Amino acid sequence: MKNFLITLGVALAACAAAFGAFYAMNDVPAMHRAARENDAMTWLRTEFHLDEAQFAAIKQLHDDYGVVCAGHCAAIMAAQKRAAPAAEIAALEKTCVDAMTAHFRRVAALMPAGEGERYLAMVLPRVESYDHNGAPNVRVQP
Amino acid sequence: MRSGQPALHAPAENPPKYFSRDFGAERLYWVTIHLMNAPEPDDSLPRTLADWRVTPRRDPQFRSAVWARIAATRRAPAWTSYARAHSALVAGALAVAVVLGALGGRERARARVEAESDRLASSYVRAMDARTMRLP
Repeated sequence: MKNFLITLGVALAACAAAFGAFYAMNDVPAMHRAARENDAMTWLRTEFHLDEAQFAAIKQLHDDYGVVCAGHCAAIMAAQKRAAPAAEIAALEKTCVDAMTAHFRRVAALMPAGEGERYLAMVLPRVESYDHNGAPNVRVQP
Repeated sequence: MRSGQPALHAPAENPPKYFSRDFGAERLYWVTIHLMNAPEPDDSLPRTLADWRVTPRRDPQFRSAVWARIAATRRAPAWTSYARAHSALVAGALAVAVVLGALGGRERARARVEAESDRLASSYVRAMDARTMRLP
């Protein structure tokens, strides 16, 4: 009985060691840091394995798109403020979606082979499934 | 040494050169002489022994107590011996434990990373979506 319990203890220790080792091997600390700091650029870099040059180019694209996005944002808010017709707001939103989609495609084109498709598969459904709820809360321009 | 009664304890610095000749024979002689001169044994002792009867108290727990003491003194084999004796069982248990631990650790880490990535992806898209801008 004693030896059986020792065997059980050894097996549990081996299980715990394997759990820890494989958890560490499959963990991505940079992702936890990005989640903690709500840092979308770190997420982008980590998730899609961007090198320095790719990350710099994509960051530049985001900065440039920030100006465009701010224009769309201002137009939509102005339309809402003056209680513009729904069709006008819808048109502004469509312009926003088209510009955003084009931006995402440009970003995908700068990513490593295979990662661009995965990136689009992650972001485009979220654009389409927008439900007018929630608010931006990550550190990405604008 | 050769004259009179031999000493029982020979001095260490003068050991007998030949055991059978110088030591053994002299001692045998000395012991034989003393036994021959020993007083007659007391006749009362055999009578006492012949009359002696032991009547132990009956103990119904005697047998079980003996086995309990035997069991207590019987040591369990060391775990290494046990593992060798049941090598297939121990190896199987360890293999299952390692596989389960590895799968659990991998899935747990991946699930956590995936959940965080999913949340950040949603935040990333919302941050660039002008439709999320609403008047207060």
